[in-house]
Amino acid sequence: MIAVFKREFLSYFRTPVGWVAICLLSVISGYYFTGMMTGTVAYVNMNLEIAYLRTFFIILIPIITMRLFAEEKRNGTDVLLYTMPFSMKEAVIGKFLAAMALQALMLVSVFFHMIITVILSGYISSATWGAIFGYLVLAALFISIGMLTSALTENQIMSAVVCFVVLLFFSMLSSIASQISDIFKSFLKFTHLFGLSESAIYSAGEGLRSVIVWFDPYTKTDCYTSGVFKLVPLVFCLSFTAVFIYITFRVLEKKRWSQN
Amino acid sequence: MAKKTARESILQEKTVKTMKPKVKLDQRFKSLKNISIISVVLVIAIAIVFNLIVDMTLDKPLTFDTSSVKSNSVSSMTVDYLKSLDREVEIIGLFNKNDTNMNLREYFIPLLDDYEAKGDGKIVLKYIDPEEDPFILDELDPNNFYHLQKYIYVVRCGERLIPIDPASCFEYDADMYSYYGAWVPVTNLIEHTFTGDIVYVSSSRPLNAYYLGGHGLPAHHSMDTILKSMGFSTSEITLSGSTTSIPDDCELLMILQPQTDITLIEKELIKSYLDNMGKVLIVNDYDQNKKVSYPNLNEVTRYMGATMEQGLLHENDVTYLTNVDDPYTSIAVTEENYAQNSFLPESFNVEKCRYIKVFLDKADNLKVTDLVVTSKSASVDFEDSEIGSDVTSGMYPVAMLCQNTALGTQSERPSLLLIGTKSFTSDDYYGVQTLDDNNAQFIRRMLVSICPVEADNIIVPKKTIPSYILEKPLSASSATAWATIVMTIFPLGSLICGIYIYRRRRHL
Amino acid sequence: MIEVSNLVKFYGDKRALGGISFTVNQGEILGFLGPNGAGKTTTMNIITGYLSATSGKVTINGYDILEQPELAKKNIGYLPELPPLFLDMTVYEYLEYVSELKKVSRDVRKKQIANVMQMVHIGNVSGRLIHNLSKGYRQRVGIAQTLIGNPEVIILDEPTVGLDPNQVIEIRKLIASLAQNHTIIFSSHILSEVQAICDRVIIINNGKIAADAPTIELSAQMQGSSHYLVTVEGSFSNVQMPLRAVPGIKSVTALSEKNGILQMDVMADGSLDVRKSIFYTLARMSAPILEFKSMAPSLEDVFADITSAKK
Repeated sequence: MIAVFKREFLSYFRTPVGWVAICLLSVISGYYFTGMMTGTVAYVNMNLEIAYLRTFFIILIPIITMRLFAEEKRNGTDVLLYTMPFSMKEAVIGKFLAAMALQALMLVSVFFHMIITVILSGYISSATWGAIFGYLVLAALFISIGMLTSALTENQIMSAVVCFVVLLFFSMLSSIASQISDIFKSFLKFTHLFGLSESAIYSAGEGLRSVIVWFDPYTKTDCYTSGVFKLVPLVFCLSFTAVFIYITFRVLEKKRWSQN
Repeated sequence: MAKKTARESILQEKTVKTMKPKVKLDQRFKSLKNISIISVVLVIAIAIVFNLIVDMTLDKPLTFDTSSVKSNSVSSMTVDYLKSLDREVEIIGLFNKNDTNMNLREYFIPLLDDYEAKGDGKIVLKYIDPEEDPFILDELDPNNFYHLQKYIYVVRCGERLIPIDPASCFEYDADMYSYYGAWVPVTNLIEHTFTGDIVYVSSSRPLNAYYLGGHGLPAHHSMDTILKSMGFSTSEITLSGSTTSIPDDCELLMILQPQTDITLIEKELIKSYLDNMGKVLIVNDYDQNKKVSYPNLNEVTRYMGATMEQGLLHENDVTYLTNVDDPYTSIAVTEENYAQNSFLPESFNVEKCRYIKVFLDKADNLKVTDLVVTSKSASVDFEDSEIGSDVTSGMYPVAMLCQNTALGTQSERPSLLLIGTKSFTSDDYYGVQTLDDNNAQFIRRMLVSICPVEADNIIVPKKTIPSYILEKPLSASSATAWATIVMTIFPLGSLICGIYIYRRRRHL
Repeated sequence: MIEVSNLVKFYGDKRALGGISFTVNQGEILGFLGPNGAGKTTTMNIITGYLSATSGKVTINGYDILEQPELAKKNIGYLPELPPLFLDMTVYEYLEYVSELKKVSRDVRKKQIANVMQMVHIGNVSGRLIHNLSKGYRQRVGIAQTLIGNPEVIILDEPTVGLDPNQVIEIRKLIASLAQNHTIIFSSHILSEVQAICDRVIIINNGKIAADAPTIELSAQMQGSSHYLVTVEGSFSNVQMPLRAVPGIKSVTALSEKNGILQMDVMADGSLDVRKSIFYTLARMSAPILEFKSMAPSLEDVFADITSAKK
């Protein structure tokens, strides 16, 4: 596990990938920070910056995760993982931790901005730490998803595109939920199925929406940004991170029994 | 022979290709496959069930407010009240909970979640977007008194309902507004407002308001509507004859545009009612009743520290006039000092306002507060110029609150609300305007503040919002310097690092 | 050491292996021979646990590769056809990574890597990026990788493919030297290579074992007949019958006949020396011999024989 972690993490920096990712995030966050700092009122709230950065997961996570397994498969180096006397679990977890470490390292620019804020005698609220925590928890979930798409495909670009689409789906989940519940409501209304009343149809639609929104990781982790610590979003993100890691492991293990 | 074998081999190859696997699949692979598929399904199911259980059981107990001023959790004061609550109160946000267009939502969402969490099931929090469910507005406000709209909160309990404009739940930095036009919140009044309004709507105490009849009481449907929407029941009483008295359950006594003076008996009854924590609203104007003098009524008002004289406010500041040719129909504004502590709208329509004069020799225990005032250059027109000899041009009150601080508690005192114009109460005015215009809001807010619905009113302290504004404003050059560091040096630094390492390694 | 029994592998409906069984004993060098697509790589992938079989059993040192994969894999070093190299690492970094994967304990790691590098002669490139190495060196790094952890069995899939002749010779030498203390399986479609290195050859064709015998035995089998390449001046129709009449000659085949120059392949019974008889017969027929070459029997013949016979 440590071996895979070490190799993967260092390889981010041996190739330009890690540096480019850090550069990208520092440009995005720097742009936002500069905007806050040089506005007519220098209203510098780091929470907002971190919340803003979360919207770039859909681009940054695929960049980080696309290579994890797809590249090994393409180069034939996955043979090492299969034929070495160690469990595939270790490889999966090692790679996950490497991507996670890079993601954490990318926040260096945010820390840098916090230091500047302190130098300029601005205010860093305790919620900022919560926001960073929420950011990393959400990153963990998305990295595990990206890793799974990388394990499922043989081509890095393919993996990145699939991961991008999945993350885009998650970031739009609450509006998708509204759309679906609207469709569901009008379906009930026009078909007169079950002969529901107007308000029953509405609450059925709302129920459907809340079921879908329940899976929305962005909404769930919002509380960290506004200075509330909740256990539930943490459990949600980490448990589903574990689920995706497990599925990744099973997908890779498939080679041991697959007939194709 | 060779040919034959060749053909045979071709045949054989064909059969090999089309033949289904003759060899049975090793059971171990099958079981491995089953194990992995079942385990994946099981793991997903367990994760979902586990999350649902955690969601249902641990969400509320394991929520901690990490903000520095505890702005995301309700104070013990509110918690105590919520515990004592014996009926269900709904808090309805008229927008989608995830709608990021909602301003300052980060202050509302977690705090109101905490209301629900601490409410023990008695606080029901809902978010309904009126664009998605247009029926909600009709359901909440069938007569459209409040002109409810998106991005507003509503607190409702049974028939009682109060709309809360999120923007009014903050105090803003005055300097930031005047220098930069930026609304920067500095004080958080959300809990203050919501708890106050929950207390109000959930109160079980009956609220009875009485109109004083017998003096040419005008039609008052609009006022009725406003009062009823606030949970008051209204009726008219006539205090003629010695046996008549003001009922014990009278929460508010209203004297609207009397065309004749009150009687001596009424005067005494009202004074003793006031001494007994009474609340009186007196509305008069200066129009039909120019010639009428009100010695008895003025004695009541003087008892509280002010009088209404026979003079008409004359607005001299053209910017305050709604019609340049008519100096008696104007805009009046919330008094500056009072505005800072209230949720009153900024300006009101005023028509033919009677001159209200603060009684100079009033006792120290009488506290007189200007609520709504004219511009600083108004004057008073008098029928009888003798009275007005001591009156110069200046700022005059349009509405005023008089309280006796010697009696009662801080939350409940004898109060007299004096309004010099009918523009706040009359059907004439609301025939043209709506019941959610600024004037109506003024009446609502003032009634809520002078008629506390609980004996021990709950006033949650305001919470200051830590300022995210840099204490030392940046000079243009230092801003550029920092921006350069942040925007170029840092990203370029990491990029150059990357290129350097990449190039160095490439030639290893 | 390695026991493979009745290995069957289907890719969908296509059969890749049709019941392969063999055992490899300790210290043996086994050559895996067969044309492309015969199933060599599939067999090796299954033995090393990289692929699953449809049925059959593989045990290494007594450990089933499916049931106790980690213990079984501990005994194998595998170099697939495409060496599993990370081009962005230096040789040393790479070998260090592999030894970490193989759980070589920290205190012997450095020494072992040094040993291995010395063994395959890559000490001089240890600090270089694998990306910048020649194919021969990359192949050696790949072999070095198999040696890390000191496994008893080393499996090499076509280790000499794509190398220039010098490199091929070096790699062969290397494999031969490894044989002193390892069991080696290596595959090839070049027969001379197998012949040169291996103790034993397994010939696979069409997913089945066509032959499994010690190298010497197979070569000896070929002693049964010998070939001669004869170029004469004359026509095939003239010389064919008299040559056939010579005792010991089994067949005469014309390879080319151009401008009165005839080239032919004469196959004779290995037990008799027919060279003199051929000379005299041809002289009698006034067909002067321009070239006379004795073709030594080789694994090529065995391979051709066996694979064509199986068809």
